Amino acid sequence: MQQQQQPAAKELHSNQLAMQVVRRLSKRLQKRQQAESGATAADLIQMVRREAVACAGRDPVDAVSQNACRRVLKILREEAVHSLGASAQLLSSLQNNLFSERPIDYSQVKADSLRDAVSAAIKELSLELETSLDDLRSHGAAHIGENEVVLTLGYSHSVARVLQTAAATRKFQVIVCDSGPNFSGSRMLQLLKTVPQIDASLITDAHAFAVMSRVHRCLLSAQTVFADGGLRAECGTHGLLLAAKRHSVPVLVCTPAHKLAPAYHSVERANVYLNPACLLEENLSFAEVHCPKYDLVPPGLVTLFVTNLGGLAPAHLHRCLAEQYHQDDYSIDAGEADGDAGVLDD
Amino acid sequence: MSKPADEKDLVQAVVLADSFNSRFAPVARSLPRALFPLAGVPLIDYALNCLADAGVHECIVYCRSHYKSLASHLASSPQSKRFATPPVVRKCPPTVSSLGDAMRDLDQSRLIKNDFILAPADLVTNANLAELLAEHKRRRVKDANCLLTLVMRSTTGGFNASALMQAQERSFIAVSNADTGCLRMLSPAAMDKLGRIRLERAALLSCGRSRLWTGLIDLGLAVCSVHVPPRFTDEFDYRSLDDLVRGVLEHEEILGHTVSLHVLGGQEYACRVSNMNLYALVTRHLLDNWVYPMTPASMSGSRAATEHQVRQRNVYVSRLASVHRSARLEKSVLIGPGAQVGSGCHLVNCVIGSNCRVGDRTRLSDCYLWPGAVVSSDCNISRSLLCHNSTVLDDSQLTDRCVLTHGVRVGPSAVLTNFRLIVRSGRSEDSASTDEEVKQQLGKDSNAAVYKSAYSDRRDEAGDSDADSGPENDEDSVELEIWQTTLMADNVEYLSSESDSSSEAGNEVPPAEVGEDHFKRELLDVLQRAEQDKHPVDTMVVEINSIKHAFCVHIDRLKAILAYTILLYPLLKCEKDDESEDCQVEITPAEHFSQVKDCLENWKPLLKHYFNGFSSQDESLIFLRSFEDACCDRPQPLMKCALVLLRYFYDTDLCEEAAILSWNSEEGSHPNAGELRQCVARMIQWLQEASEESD
Repeated sequence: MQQQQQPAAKELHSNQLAMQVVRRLSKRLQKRQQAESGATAADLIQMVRREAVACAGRDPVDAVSQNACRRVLKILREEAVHSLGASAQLLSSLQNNLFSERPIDYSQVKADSLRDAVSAAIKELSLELETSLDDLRSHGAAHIGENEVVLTLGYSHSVARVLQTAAATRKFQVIVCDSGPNFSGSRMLQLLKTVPQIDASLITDAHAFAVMSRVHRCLLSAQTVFADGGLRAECGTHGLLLAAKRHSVPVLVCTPAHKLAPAYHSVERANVYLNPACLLEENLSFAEVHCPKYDLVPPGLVTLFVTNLGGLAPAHLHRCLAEQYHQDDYSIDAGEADGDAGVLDD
Repeated sequence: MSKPADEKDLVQAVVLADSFNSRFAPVARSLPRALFPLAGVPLIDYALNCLADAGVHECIVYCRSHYKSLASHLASSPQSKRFATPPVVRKCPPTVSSLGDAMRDLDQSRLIKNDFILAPADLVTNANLAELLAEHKRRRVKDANCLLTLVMRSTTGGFNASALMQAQERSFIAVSNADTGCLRMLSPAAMDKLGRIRLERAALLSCGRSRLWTGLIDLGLAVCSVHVPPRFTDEFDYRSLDDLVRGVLEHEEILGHTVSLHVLGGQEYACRVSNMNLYALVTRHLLDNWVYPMTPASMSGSRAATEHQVRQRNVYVSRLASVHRSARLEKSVLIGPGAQVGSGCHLVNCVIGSNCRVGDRTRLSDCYLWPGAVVSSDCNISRSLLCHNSTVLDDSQLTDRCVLTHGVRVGPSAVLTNFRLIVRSGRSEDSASTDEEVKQQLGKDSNAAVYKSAYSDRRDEAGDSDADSGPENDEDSVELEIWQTTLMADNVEYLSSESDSSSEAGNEVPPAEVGEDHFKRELLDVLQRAEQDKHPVDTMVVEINSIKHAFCVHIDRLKAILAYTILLYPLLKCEKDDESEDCQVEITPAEHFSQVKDCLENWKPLLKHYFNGFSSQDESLIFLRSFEDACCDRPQPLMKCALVLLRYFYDTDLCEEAAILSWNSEEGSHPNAGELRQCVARMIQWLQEASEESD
C-alpha cells in the first residue's frame, strides 16, 4: 500500500461544512443588522453573495459552501418579499418571474425588520442540515433488498451510514472498490467489517467491470451533483458507471440536497490535481503525469439520486434546485468580488 | 494563529535569506535571491508558507543586503500574516559572512527561547515540518544530548529525483542508526575511479543496526535545539551547518552531543533553489504539481486579481491576462496577471510574469519571464531567463541558457546561445567584453554587453548582494556559475551506476565484528596482566579506555564484553595459555564458580566504574544479558553453576531483584536461553514469592 500524506486538518463531512458556513453567515448577518441601522435587505444580499464568491475563490471545487450561501440568500429574498406584501409575492411566483417587467427592489426593505424572521428561518435551515444525514440514511436504506449484491467505491460517510442502516433489518453483500491512488476503499471495508450482517469484500478498481454482472445495484456518493445529473465524484466513478451501464445495473447516488449545484456539467469544471508522486514512483522526468482527484462524470449514467428529501430522478433535479435556491443566485460571478470579499472573520 | 500562553510551546523559525555566495551575482544585484519570482511568487514565500503550515509562531529572517526590499516584501506578503507575530527581518552587520556568523549573532541577540527550525529562504518543500519538530522533541526527551535533527532528501527511489540529483552540486552519503536515527557519518559522495565510496569503519562499528543512505540532497534544513547557537559561539571557526555536524561527530565522545538524521522521501518534495538549473527544475515541478499541496494556484492566494484559471495539462492563466485565441499554450505554462500573449505564439514550460508582453508568432520553451519583460514578434527563445523589464526585440534567437539581467535590451535579430549572461553595458564594474563580433550578436539596438563572471579574475564583489566578499573563501564556497554548468563528471557516472548499487541503498548493514574480536583479546590481556601484577583498578580503567578508543568500541558493547570476559575469565585464561596444544579444557562447575567469585570480588570496583555502580536497572540488564551470552556460549561449566552465580549477583547487589525478574521475562536470542531460564527457575520463583510476600 502506498504511503499517503495525511491532510493537515481533519476533513469535515459535507453537512458539517455547510453548517459551518451557515453559522458564520448568520453571525455576520446579525452583526450587520445590529451595527447598521440604515442597512437594507439589498445590502445583506450583497454581503452574502460576496461571501459566496470568496468561498468559490478559496476552493473552486467546494460547491457545498456556495450552496449554503445560496440557501441563506433564498431565505433573505423570501423574507424581504414577504415583508413587501402581497403584490410582490405575486411577482415572485414562477410565471410572473418570467414575464415581470420590474425586478423586486430589495433596498426598500429595512434589514432590521427582517431580523426575527431571518434568524428563525436560518435556525430551520441549520436543523435541516443537521438532520440531513439521518434523513438520507432512512431513504437510502429502503433501496437495498435482502441478499442483494451492492457495489460501492471508496470511502463515503453517507454511503456507509446507509449501508449500516439497511443492515439492521436485512443481510446483503457489499463489494468495495479500493479507489486508487488514495485507497480509501480499505477504510470503508474496515468500517463495514464491523457490521455482522454485511458480507463485505474489497476489489481493485479494475475489477469493477468483471464483477458488475453479479451486482444488483451500485451505491455511490458524489462530491457535487450538477443540475443536469452530471457528477463530480471520486476518481474511478466514471469507469464504474460505464460498466454499470453496459450491464444495465441501476446506479444510486447518495447525496444530501446541499451537494446539488445549479451549474451544468462540463469537462472544464474545476478539479483538484493531486501530487503525481502517488501514482508514479519511477524516475521518469520526461513523463507528464496527472493525478486528478475527481472524475467529472457526464449526465445520463445515474438512475436515481437518493437525497435527504427522498429519491429524485435526474430529470427532476431542476425542481429540487428551484425549491432550494432563488433563480437570481444560480450564477455567482467572480466579477462582483471586491473590497473585503476575501476576508474571513473567524 | 495566536501565540501560546506558555513560552515552552512557542515555535520559532530562523530563515536565512542570504546564501553567502555570489552564484547569482549580476542578477541578484538588484533583487535578492529570496525574492526571485518562482512561478510568479517570491521564493521566500514558499519557505514561509511551509513554516506557517508547521505551526510556527515566530519567524526571524536573516539578511545581509537588500534589507529594505525584504522588509517591505514581508510587510505585504500574505504568508507573513499567517504567523502570530509578523516575521522579523534582522539585518546582520557586514562582518557576517556565513551561517556560522549568523548563528553567533543569534546567540548574542537572545531571541531564541526554544528549539527552532532553521531553513534557508530558497527552500521549496511540502514536507510536514510540524511532524519533524514533534519527532525532534520526542527524541530530546529521550536523549537530552540530541543537538539537532538534520533533514535531507533522498533521491534513490521515488519521484523524478534523478533530474533533481543531476542539478545538484553534490550529494551526500550517510550512515545512521536504524533504530534511533542517530547520525554516525556524513560525507559528500565522492567516488574513486572504480565507483567505490569510502565509508569510515568506525561509523559502522559503533552502532548496532545501521542504515546506509546514498544520494542525499542537502537542504540546509534542520530542527535545532537551543544549544545550537551557543555551540557556534564556542567554536568560532564553524562556518556552516556541515562544520557543526562534522564537529559533533568527531567529538561525540567528549561532549556527548548527537545529531539525528531525518530523510525525506516518497511524496515529500524538497529542494533548494541554489542554481539556475534548479530554478528551472523546481519551477517545472511546481507547475506539474509535484510540490502538491503547494501549487501556483494555492500560492498566489485567492484574491480575484491574482486568481488563476487552471486548464488542462497544467496551464494556469490569470483572469487578468490576455491571451490571443490562436496562441498555443501547450503544457506547464503559467501566465501572470496583466500579461499579454500575441497571436500564433507557442509556449511550452514557460512562466510569463505579470505585465509581460509576448509578441506575435513567438516561440518560447523553458523560458522564465520575470515581471515586465517584453519579447517582440517572431522570436525564438528556449531555456532562458529574462529578468525584470528586459526586452528582446524582433526576430531574435536565444537558445540554451541565456540570462538577460534587469533592463537589458537585445536585438533586433540577436543570436545568442550557450550560457550567455547579458548585462547592461556602461557599468564599468562589470568587466564586460565589447568586441565587434559580440556586438553583432547582440543586435544593433542593444544596450547590453556580455558579462564576464567575476570569479574569472577573482575580483571582489563588494557591492553584491549574495556575494561572499570575505577573502577566506574555502573550497566550500568556491564561486560557481549561475547555471552550475560544471556538473561533476563523476556525479554523472554516479547516476548511471546508481541503478546497480541501488539495492544497497537503505539496506541494513550488519555491524562489523572484526574490531570486537581484537578488542576481546586485548581486554583479556589487560585482565591477565592486572591479575599477575596486581594493578589497581584506576590503571585498568586507563588501559581499557585506551583500547576502547583504539578499536572504536561503543560504551554499551564495552560493558557487555567486559562482563562476558570476567564471567568466563578462568576458562578463557586456560584456553589462551593452552592455545598451542589446542586441547579441551576441563573445569568443574564448582571450581569455575569459586574462580569467578574471586575475579568478581577483585574487580568489583572496575565493574562498578563501567556500570555506574549498578545504580539503574538498565545497567544491571546489560550485565545479565552478557551473563546469558556467557552461559549459552559455554554451557559446559557455566550452565551448572548459573544458579549459584545468579544468587551471588543478587547477594552482592550486582543485580537488583527487579532487574533479574525483567531479564527473566525477556526472551533470549540464544537457542540455549530457555535451558538457562530453567536452570535458574528456582531462584526466580523464590524472588517472585519474596516480592509477593513483601506486597
